Amino acid sequence: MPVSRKVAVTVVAVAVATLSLMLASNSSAPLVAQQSYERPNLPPPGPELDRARETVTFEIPMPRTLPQGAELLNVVYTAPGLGQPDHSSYSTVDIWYALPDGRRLHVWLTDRQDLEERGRAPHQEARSRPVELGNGTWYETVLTDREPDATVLARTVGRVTVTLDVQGEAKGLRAMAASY
Amino acid sequence: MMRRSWVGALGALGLLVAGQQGAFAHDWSRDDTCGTGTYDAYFYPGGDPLDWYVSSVAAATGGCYMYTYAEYGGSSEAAIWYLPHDSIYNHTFAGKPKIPSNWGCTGDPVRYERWAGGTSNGVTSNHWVDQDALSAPTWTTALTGSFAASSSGSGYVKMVDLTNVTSQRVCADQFTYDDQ
Repeated sequence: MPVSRKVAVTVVAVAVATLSLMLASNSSAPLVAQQSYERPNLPPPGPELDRARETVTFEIPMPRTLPQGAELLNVVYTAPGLGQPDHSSYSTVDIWYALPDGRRLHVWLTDRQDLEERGRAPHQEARSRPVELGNGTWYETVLTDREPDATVLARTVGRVTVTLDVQGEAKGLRAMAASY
Repeated sequence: MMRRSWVGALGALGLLVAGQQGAFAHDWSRDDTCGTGTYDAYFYPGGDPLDWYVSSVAAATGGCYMYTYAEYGGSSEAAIWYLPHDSIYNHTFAGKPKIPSNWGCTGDPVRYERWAGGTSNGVTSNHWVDQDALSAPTWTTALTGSFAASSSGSGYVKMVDLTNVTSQRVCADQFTYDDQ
């Protein structure tokens, strides 16, 4: 076979293989993610956090320390005016960080003022124990219904309740809480 | 002559690829991955982590699902299944939560919110879904609507724990977007 023909055959074979892979990856079967970390194709979280700061009804407290290698992954917020009638007087912000080992660290913030009335204030959690971290008392709860266990740290400062959670090793979570 | 053949072959292949792009199904499906710490990159359980629970059952995608308890008067927990931030997902979809009847999920309507263009654009439409009635088949359409990613956000469906009753399970497992 002439060299030019071999080259042509190779080019077409590579192209066909590429097409096959494209077709396979776009098949109509639903895609279900594996349980490994995957960087999502979502809008950059930094600008989303900026939009949250401009929109929600409280100043978003941020930690001075994050676990080593933590990267901002996703931000979601609710606030009056976004079309949720039950959120007419308070806001919430959810922030997720990706950790290098594939885990997620989640921060939930709200200025909802009826948590205590509803028995949902951090100090009312029956499973929790108080821990001194940094300059304040946090309430630590270990959730054992998942593998690995999750650790939750919660505290209300002024009008804002801050809740942190991560599954697995929680040393970085406590250091983060201490830096608020 | 040989070069012309290559060009012709590659051109035909290019046309085939272009034609296939238009015909690709855009179905998209994500799972909660059971709170394993390395969640599906497009699934986010938000709100108070103390009120999210994990249940292991063989029928659930990945072997387990997450649930919270219904709130009355104001939502606290929310599960979000994102579409990718890509214009090929700017389509009309039928949203189908997978919730078999024997999981004990609430029969009182639960609010599923369609955020067609991301958070900053607000809720596009609300859909009240009886989770207990999704049982047979397990992929009943809970909502239908268009999604349009913008520079400020990806489309998503958010299920919130708001019903007319309290203390009933509100469940989250796999959610499928069926291209219409």
